[in-house]
Amino acid sequence: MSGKTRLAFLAALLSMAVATAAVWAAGVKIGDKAPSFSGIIGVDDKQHSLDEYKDAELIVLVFTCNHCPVAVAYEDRLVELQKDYQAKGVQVVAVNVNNIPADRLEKMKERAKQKGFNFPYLYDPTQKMGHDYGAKVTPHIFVLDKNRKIAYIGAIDDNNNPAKVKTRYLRNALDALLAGKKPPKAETPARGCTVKYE
Amino acid sequence: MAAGSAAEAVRLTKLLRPMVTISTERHIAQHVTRGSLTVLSFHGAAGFPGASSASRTRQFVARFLGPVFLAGTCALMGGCWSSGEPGPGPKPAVSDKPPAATVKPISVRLVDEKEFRQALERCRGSAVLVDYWALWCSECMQRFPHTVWLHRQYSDRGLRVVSLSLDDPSDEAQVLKFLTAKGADFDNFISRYGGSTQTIENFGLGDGALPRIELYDRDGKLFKVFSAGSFTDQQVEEAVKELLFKQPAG
Repeated sequence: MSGKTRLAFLAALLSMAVATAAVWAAGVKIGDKAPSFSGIIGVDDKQHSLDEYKDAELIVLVFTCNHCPVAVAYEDRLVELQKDYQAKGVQVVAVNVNNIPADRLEKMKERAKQKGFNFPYLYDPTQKMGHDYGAKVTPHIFVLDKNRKIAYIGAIDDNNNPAKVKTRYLRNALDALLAGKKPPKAETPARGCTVKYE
Repeated sequence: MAAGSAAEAVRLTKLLRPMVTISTERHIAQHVTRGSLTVLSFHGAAGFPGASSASRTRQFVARFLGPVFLAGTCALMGGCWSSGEPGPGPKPAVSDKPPAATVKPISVRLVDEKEFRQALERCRGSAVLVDYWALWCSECMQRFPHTVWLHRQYSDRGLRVVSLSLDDPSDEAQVLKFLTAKGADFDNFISRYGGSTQTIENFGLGDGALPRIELYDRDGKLFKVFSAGSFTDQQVEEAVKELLFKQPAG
């Protein structure tokens, strides 16, 4: 390898590293201010925004979708969570950013009705919300604290199979935050289907 | 709506395929770099997860005595492959013929991370492709035939293939059905912990996104990771070829 080739090779490597950093810079970290959103249509055909939930103590933002079996496996758990934490001021907000046919608004409406979603289910076909938060899979959870800073990122619990769950990460995080403490685990690996970015 | 749903399903199916392809291709460049970062940040040059000092001897053997000797060692230890596939030793020149996939019973076994590492360790001396997948991951299932194809294409050049399913152990029958339908005549495993945090953490699966393919060289060192779903079959094959046919160092 000549000196020139080597230099070119190094330059290529360096530019790759820069590109990689840019990719990883996308998305939020614990403690970051939650990216705002507005004008996002829901299954109720209304436009929704982050400000709309300003009275909520905590917001559980869930990136989810219709087609993914893991997301489906967690639907009942989300409905139950909203029911259990409603009175404590916790608001679940589900959002889908996939544009594949099975995940479009009409299908979302059907699913929300079938499963009796007791929380808003929003559709962001621009996928901006997914990019802003750095949602990688469905379901992917972001908890926003009272000051709308990111307080928890990751999974709902530790097993897709509800019968085998040992640790309920999200509930533990909510309980801690409601008690004015830090979540025992602020980040857990999210499991699920990859978000279908375009 | 209901009356037209069958026709709609057909239409949707037609729409779905090109969309997935387009979105994959648009993001190749982005995710190639992401993939290479994953290698650096999660694995470094650590080798098979949990590679022990006891295996150094075998690394020495692998480097200086070559894969042929190791193939023999593997055979003595009960083989890299529960299916009884022959090792990567010298072979009769009938390489174009696919392995006798049809007669081999396809099996799957529940493993914890230790048993899984042992299975990988036994394959030292061969290049190894590990396909992490699940029935709940549609992209994984779409990709899986290519893994089977790679195995058929390159097994007599020294490529070994291992699959690990992240399905719940209670889904073993469905997993086996899928593997059988696809002709997965290599070592197939299911994580004892199913689709759980424990699987992701104990097996060292980075951010946990599937599909995920890992390639290990003949010394058991991690060569490449494809993750986050946006990579092409072609990229994986190129990497396999690079791994199998690259000149030995020194």
